[in-house]
Amino acid sequence: MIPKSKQQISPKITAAVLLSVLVMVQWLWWRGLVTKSKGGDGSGRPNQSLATGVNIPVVIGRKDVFVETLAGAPEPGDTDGAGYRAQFDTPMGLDFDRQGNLYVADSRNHRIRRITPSGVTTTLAGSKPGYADGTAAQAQFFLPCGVVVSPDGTIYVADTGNHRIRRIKDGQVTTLAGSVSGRADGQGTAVKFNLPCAVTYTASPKPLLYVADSLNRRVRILDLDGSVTGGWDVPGVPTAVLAGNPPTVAVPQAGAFLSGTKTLRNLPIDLGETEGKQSDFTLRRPLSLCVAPGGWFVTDAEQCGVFYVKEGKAFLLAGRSHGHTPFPGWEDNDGHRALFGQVSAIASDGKGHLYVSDTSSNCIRRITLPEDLGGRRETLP
Amino acid sequence: MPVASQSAPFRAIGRFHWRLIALVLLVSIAAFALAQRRKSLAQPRLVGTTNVFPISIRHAEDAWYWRDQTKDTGGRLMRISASGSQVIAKADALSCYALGEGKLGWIERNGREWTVLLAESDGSNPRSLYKNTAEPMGIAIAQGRIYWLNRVPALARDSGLFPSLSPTLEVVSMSLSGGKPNSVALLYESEDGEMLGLHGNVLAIATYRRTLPGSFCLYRVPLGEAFPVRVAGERGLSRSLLTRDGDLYWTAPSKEVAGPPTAITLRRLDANGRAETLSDWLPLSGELYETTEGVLYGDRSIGGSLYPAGRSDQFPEPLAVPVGYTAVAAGEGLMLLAPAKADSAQFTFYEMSLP
Repeated sequence: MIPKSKQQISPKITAAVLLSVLVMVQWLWWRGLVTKSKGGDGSGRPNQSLATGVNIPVVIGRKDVFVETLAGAPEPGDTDGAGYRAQFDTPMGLDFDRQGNLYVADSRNHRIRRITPSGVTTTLAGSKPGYADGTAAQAQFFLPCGVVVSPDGTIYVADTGNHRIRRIKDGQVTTLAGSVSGRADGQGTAVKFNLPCAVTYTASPKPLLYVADSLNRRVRILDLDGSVTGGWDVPGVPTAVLAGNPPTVAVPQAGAFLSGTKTLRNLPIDLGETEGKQSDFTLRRPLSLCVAPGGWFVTDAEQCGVFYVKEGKAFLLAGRSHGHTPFPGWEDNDGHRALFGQVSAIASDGKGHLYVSDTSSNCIRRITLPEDLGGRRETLP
Repeated sequence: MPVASQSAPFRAIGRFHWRLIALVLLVSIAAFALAQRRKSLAQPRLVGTTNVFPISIRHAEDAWYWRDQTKDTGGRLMRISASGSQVIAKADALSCYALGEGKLGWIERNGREWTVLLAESDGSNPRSLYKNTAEPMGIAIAQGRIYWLNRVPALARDSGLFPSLSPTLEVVSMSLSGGKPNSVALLYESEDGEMLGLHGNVLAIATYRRTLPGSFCLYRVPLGEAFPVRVAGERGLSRSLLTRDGDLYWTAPSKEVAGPPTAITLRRLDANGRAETLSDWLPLSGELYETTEGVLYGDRSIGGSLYPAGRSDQFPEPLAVPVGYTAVAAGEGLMLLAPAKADSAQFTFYEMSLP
């Protein structure tokens, strides 16, 4: 009898082991864990993941962009105050009024907050979670995720958890449309939404709102009298609508922006000097967008940064893109070194600044753009 | 008479005086025994050994409790006392445990099923109270009930798109004698939570969001009211403690440190809702312990120390421990020590009274 240790290993087992090793190496290669990059910081050193120390390709933002925290800090809370003293909890939708005040759908605080141009945060409306119309202080919202301000200063809120669109005017909160969850057109309470998560105002062809009705996978058209008469279906959950002719819709589940009949899917991220696999670096889950010179400024659920999209390509402005691996953090600096958490909504003040809700860092960040993207050279008086 | 003359002094003492002498003798013996015990506790006394490093160490009812986890042993809940050491529970994973009202509760997983269990504090009479394939979290025993957190499914399935619509945590309670779990409140928190305990009619709960930079919230949940009140929020993943007096203690990154946190502060919220910073510049990664000498912060690093909750304008001073030992944990009037030069394969622990 041959001793067990001297028995020959079956060729089938050998082949299976070799195949497994090959598949594993290929997977690692595909994940970018065994590739090296030249280094996006210009130092010639390979970019390293701070978390693992493993060399992986990293696309890093621009040095001529500056990122700062306008209001809030990573500590969740609901305190009003200036700058870092203010606290938010999972801020999402953003929009400006004509005076330059920024409104924030402070979702887990169930409130709508206002940030003045000097950076002082106050609570505009909302208190405990629930559903109640009334004065701004008494009104209740439930996980509001979207907000928009019309030119006359009326604020419309996508009151997501309550499946309603609310209106704030002259210190009073009323319900424009919606009741229980569902899908129905009509007027006022006859309308049914299913977790409406974003709302956009347009003045053309007539003043109305576009509502990203998330679980109905549909953009609804809401007249300012509270009636919903139309809309269009999209292939996934819509998370933002940019007014225009035609409007553009972000559909992260499809990895796409939809604009009329045009679909921009999985836009490639410009790699610059980074040696990475282009298929690893795409906008796979675009969340929100706003108008930019010749394109859009965009956020993506899987990338902890802000992008400029032009001519079918995405350029990282600030933050980091690690391909398939998000690299969240919170650091104010130039766009090259700044770190973001999960960013969701994005808005522009039209004066050379972008504002993003850094949802997982519980704060609102301000990005000063370079001159080629509408930024203005700051001069001392 | 000689006999009579010999017994005369004894008779003089009288019956009452004999009783007095006996009482004095008894008191002396008791005082001697107490002094001996104190003397023995003033020196490290061997508690026991274990081959897996313990986590979540607590002292209650004259015993040390902890849990540990390895690939080989799985998750275990251990108890060690003067009568010896015992494995109270063993499972694929054992996520937490709590002591209260003479009972011991814990949450374990076997296969895909999670179970909430309850036993006497010595581990006897274990019984299963609740089973689910979704993980129940945290646990507390108070006022004849057991409390824990269940995760409620997300409003939106793809919650990565809407963090605020991600799963929420439901606070539930159940009678210690069993029955159906009752819903107590909802917390709009998506990840982990921990029940700190009940004081008066108010539950204290800590929650964690692990996505970097991470955050921590402390909630008070008045029983019978639907709305939890967030009383503190911090960056990073803090540790927290509810004392018997109802004070909440927690750790937070030190504001004195620029850049990545390398030191922490210890904060307190008293029962009236006043918050204050007690200590600053404490080492990272510690644990909070309630003792007869006040709240202590135990640094779990190599060469760990115990720090009393002090004043924020003073540099923290660790408690003195005998040469050759490090402080591992504390509870009631004792601290748990380990030899400074520990064997990596076997951990030996000693206890001694707190200074």
